[in-house]
Amino acid sequence: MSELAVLNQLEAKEETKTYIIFNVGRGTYGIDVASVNTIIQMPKITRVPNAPINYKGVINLRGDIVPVMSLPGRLDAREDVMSDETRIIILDLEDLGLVGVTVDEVKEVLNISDKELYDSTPFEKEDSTLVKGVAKRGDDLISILDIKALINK
Amino acid sequence: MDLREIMVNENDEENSSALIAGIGEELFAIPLSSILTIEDVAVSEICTVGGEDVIHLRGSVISLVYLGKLFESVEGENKNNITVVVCDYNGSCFGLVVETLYGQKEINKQSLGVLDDVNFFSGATILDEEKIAMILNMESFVA
Repeated sequence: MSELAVLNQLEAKEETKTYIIFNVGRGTYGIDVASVNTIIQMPKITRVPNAPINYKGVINLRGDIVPVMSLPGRLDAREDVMSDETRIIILDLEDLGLVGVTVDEVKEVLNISDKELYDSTPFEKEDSTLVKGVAKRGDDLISILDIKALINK
Repeated sequence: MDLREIMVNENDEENSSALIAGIGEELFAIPLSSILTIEDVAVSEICTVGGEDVIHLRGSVISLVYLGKLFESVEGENKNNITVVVCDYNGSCFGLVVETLYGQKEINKQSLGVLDDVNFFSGATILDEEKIAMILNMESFVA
């Protein structure tokens, strides 16, 4: 009985989350699937004049207006390169509503435990970085993004 | 000047009618309740006061706001006439210069979410054929 209690305690400290893994430029990134509303192919984007940099505009998502940010712009400071693989990941930010982010390619869904996550950098303070942690899978490094920091409001 | 006036229903404040105007390929919605009149103005009649373009309208001087320049839109060719939507916000008048008029539509204002603090726009609306029009915030032109 006591062994069971110890095991439960260990499990409670270590969480495994499911992440949507995608590419932006040459980087591989992950976002917690709990925040993902849907993933769509590129629709027509209506420009919003005077929007902050990196916001491409808004789209019509089944009758709802959803703003869209460019991740190649936000993460790599470069223009989106449209291909057949380009997607928009619609994120649910709760009180901030829905926000779409453009990515070059959605690769897969992975379960990553908190144990596997390394701090992205020992130099920056936690709240000033977009990357919550880095996981290693094979030869790939996956940067787990902090969505609130990404949208930065 | 060619004069076209729109009858404004004072009760229609909430979420209802707007004039849809276009600049290049982009569409904008101007709340009907803010519109005084629409004028077709010859370019030769535009005057300059204090570095700004204005027009004379029935004894008043109306400042012009070139939406195409303000929003950095891709505009069509320069013509001899401009279309001015004369608006009123809290007693201040100004003229919005647009390219094309698409008429009056019932609109359903939606918030822009994280972009809801962008200057000049109070929201967006989906028109027929899935096109999106940005709804102009009249207050932002009276700074």
